[in-house]
Amino acid sequence: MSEAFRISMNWLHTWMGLVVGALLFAIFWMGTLAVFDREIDRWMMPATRVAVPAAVSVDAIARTMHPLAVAAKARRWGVQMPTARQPTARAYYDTATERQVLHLDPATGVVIAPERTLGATGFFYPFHFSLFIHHWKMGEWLAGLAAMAMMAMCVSGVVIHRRIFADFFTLRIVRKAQRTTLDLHNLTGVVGLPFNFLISFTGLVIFMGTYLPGIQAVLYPGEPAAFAVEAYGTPLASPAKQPADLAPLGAMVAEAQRRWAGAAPATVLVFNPGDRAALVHVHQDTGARVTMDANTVVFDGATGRVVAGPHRYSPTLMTLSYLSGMHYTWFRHATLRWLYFVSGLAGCALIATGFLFWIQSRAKQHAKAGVRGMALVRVLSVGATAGLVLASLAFLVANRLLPDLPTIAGVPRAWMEVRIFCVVWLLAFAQAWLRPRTVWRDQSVAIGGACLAAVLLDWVTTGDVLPLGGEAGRWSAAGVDLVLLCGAVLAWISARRLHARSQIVTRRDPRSAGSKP
Amino acid sequence: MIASILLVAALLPAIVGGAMIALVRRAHWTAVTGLPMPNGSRRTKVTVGAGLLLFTVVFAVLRDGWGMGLLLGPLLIATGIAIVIVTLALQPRALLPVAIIVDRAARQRFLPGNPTWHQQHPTDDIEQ
Repeated sequence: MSEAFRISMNWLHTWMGLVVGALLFAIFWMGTLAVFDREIDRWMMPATRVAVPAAVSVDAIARTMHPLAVAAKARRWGVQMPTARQPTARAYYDTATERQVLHLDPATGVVIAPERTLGATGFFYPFHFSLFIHHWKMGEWLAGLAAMAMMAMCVSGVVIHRRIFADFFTLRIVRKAQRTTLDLHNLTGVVGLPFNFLISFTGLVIFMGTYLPGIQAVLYPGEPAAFAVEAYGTPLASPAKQPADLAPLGAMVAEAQRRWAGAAPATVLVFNPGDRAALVHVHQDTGARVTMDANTVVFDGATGRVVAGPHRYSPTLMTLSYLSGMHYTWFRHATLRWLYFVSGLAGCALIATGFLFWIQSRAKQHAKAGVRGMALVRVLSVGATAGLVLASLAFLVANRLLPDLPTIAGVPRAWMEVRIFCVVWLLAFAQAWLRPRTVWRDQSVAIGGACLAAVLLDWVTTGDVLPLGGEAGRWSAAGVDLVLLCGAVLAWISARRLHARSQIVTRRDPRSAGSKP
Repeated sequence: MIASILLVAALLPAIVGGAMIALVRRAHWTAVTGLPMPNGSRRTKVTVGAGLLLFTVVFAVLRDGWGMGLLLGPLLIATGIAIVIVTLALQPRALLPVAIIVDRAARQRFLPGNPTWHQQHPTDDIEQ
């Protein structure tokens, strides 16, 4: 390998990491949280911490949801069947402008609670791929750019790592922070390389339609819906504007199960509710496999007659579906879920240590040369990493502190939580700018405090104190509490070490104290 | 129960295999045993270590089938290697049992290609 090539890869790795590092961290962090989105939802929606139901009645759910959807002139309503991770029937209806979500008792169809928080499934998960920038799908494009950059950095990182095999098992926890940071960066990069590369690649695959719209436009000119019919077997119909009742949903689900040889349903969607042209899609539960082939069966909503299905995916789509399934992690596999979570955290550590190493290796040099950009990079690195973690914790704390009302100060409660998230994130950036000397230690302390506060508030507001939450079968919320406690301990250790190091630096050179992160 | 046993059975070869490959490096061997590294075939040890890593994938596929096993196996290998790296950094002596197994296996010629091995090997003095 020529030295010139290695140097060019080094340049690419360094500067691409600096430019997209903040974006990548946000995507990785939110994706990591989304691995346990249902569990975080249970934590944020205490009313839904119920036992897994022994029986499910789709007809009872329909008796509650269908009249609501018809009254709201919804274009569709749907229900997610209860699972161990989400023991309620999560039902919703979509009007032209908004979505209303309710949690129902799966056996009786009685409303348990309206959803007054976006939770992890409504905030962390969509933030992961859309960044909540919906104009021209800009968020998805940025996420795609970040995924491409991650793949390029995985490859360039291997090229520039001269002693990749010699140092493969090396982690030197020494006094010289720069050495430890680089070792941590190399360790998380090399050990996590297959995960990081594949998760980026599969992320791109999922949004293939967005990034390569031309293929669909060429193959299905003027008929975007035709692709969905051919690929997924999910036809749609325009309303006939003639009222009609909905045929019994339970019979439709039973017929779908018969066609699937007894497999369980995951979701039921009713399009054009209350109309003679109503269509019902019943999707199969794919939790037992990685491939997300839903084998959809479509029914005429008014008559209950089978329109199509079960739809079998083509081999190409099965491959695509396996790759998507690798990324979505919707399968029921606790060990894999934990390994994804830890690998995601390692990815976050990789990005954060990359930032840190950039600063550590250039701080003195730039200070001597009078380069001004260093302060900006430092603010960006702290705000984008520690600041985002802190904002996510503030989101959880706000969920516990805000009163359970539909609106607060004229703002829907769910969006008030998001506002608090944004304000705390901005404050983290501001603090990084104003107090560069102690910002890492301060934000570590704040993260530890927020973790503890979240656990305590959960205890106070719900009475679910560890380990009683687990004993009562509420493992989802107990697990979140346990992870928060581990986070508090880690943040406390980090803060102590940072404080100790700043003391050493201060004794050695009072002027440069705090100039290093 | 069987699933849990298979999970442990899948993770163990990842840790032992990772440790075997790590102990081929002189610095790691010395950190673990406190002794200079004996002569021996490194390639064979790396091959056996890599074979053990492959066992992890086999156990994962046996446990969960091809679809999930092919995801679980590599992630368990990464976990095993990460455990070895952290152990080497914080408590290298904890890998002494693996070093002793490697050492004894080499002397028993379970791992071939070691004609220059000592009669009285330095690790004979190490307390287990």
